[in-house]
Amino acid sequence: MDDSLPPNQQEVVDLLETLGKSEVNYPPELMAHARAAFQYKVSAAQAQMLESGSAFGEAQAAGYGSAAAEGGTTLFAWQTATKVALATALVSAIAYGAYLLSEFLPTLLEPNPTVVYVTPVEIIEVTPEITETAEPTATPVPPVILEGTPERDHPGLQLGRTPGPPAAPGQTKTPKVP
Amino acid sequence: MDEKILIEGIWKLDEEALSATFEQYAPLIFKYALRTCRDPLEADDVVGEVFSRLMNGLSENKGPRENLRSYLYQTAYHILIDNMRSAKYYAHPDELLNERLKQNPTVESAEERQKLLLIQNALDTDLTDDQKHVIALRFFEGFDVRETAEILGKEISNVKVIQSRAITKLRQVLDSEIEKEP
Repeated sequence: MDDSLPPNQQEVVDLLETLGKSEVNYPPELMAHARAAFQYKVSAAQAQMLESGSAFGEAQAAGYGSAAAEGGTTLFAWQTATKVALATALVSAIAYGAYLLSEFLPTLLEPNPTVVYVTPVEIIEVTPEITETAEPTATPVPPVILEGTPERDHPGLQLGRTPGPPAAPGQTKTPKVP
Repeated sequence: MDEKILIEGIWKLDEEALSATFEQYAPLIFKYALRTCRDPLEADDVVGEVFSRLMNGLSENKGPRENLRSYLYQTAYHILIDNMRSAKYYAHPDELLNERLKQNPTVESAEERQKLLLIQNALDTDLTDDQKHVIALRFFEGFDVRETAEILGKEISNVKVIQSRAITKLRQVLDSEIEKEP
């Protein structure tokens, strides 16, 4: 197969080619299953072609080879339209799902609410009764107004005569340093 | 059926072309997958996934344009790589290889059979994943270097290096076993 190989390597190549002829064949029962599956796919593709209403095969064949694409354009347009429709439906479904989630997710995520059963309280009507009577203990006395006002030595001049606050217990008055 | 006619047919969803594609390539894809995973059921899954992706590719206008065979193998390669990354596969030893080699008329001597068993064991245990795929595509499936590079998504020079290292490794395994023999 490869004339440039040295003789000792050519022997390996010859052995490999002999080995290749000793391989296991495809078991008929397995091949029959594979054939049936393939034929099913072919039928599905042909049905898709018929449903699409366009000449799927012819369009693809037009895409094949040099004379490319008038027929192919119809197919591609159909495929593109289908993809766009599917994408739109998908986006709508996702948006609706997101809305539902945002609405109901907090409710769903809440732990199970605890149901508290409350026994209705019996309403008792109570009539207020006077149990104690308060009596006045003292008579208010009107303020005594003395007649006359004591005279002051220097009326209007009271500086230094205002008594200071009482000293706290144990506190001694510190003389001011001039 | 000619591959160009097949490609035109499958783009038209022509049942005959699709059926012919399956009959022609499903057994090959199965063998390619089986070499990697050594499990017929897993290999069968890969075949199913390859043809499922073919139909998806057609519906998305990403199907094969020029080389249908390379396209299918490339899809299979990607599936196998994904499965290996997810540790889905464990390379089971091919315990029945010796029996099949005995029934293979092209294997004439016990010595050659022994070498083939050594090579198979080294493929399973001593090569990297890249080396396994390059060897499988180049020598089992018959792709040339350019096609192999296209399928694996590598540079042609890179594929050549990987192939050279893989063959050197296999040669070393053979030589070391021969030296062990009395």
